[in-house]
Amino acid sequence: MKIKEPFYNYEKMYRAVKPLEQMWKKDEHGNQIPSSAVFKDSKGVSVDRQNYRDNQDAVNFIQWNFKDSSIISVTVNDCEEVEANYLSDPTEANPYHCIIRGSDTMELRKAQAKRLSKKAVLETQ
Amino acid sequence: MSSHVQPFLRDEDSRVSNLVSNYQQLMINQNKRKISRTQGALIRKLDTFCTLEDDWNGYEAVPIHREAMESAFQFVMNLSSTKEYRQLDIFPVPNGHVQIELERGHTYLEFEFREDGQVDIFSMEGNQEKEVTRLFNQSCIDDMIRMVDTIENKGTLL
Repeated sequence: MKIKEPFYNYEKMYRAVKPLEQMWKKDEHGNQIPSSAVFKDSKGVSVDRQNYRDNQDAVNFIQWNFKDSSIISVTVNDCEEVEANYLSDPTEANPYHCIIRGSDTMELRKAQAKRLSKKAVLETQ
Repeated sequence: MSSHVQPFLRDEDSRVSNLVSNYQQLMINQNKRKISRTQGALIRKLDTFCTLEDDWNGYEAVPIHREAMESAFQFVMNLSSTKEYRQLDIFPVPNGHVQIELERGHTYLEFEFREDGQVDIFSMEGNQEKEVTRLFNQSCIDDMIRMVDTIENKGTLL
């Protein structure tokens, strides 16, 4: 799988989720999974890239910016698998800021949002 | 065939609706029509969406549109009160819509209730995807409930 530079294989992309109880559900096996609504945004899905940081350091950084939120992650490989684009979009306050977007539109297609939600990992509650 | 209920009771003076209160009023008006545990749980969760203000997800989400909540409420009230749809769940969407989803095995069904009186119906089964946007009316509700029942009974839409 070809990962677009400057990203690297299995680099994580982090997103804050709140309110947790409204955005998560239990699947038929009792596992907690996020709704695809977590990945629906007309401006593209705002995330932080890992950028060679230790996982916990990256989680702490985004959690500092999004207090009272849970943190989930997907990898750039997950984005490739669902044919979503990902691009670096650093800001003055957040050099790790990135956008996950659809191929033709900023918003992911419903299928892309659903598939990404199934791949999401809960990093911290 | 699901029974038709009167449209959600509007309170034009109230900036934020309280669906549970209105639902309780609806029950009284309709001779305490029974609802299932699933319907009750969905309505209670839907009611919490009223509290979501600007930027509720930290990424500039907008408050949930009243019209979207009313459509979702109407759909839930049309579900059979004698069945338990355990896999049905309801979520706020950052664009102000309301999403109801059902997932069973490899079959996924999603309804996104919009503020413009339409609903996006999306289904995914393996690699097959289907998405349509329809006017939200009683005929549409009946079709949506048929889809839910098909997945509940057969585990597939195929």
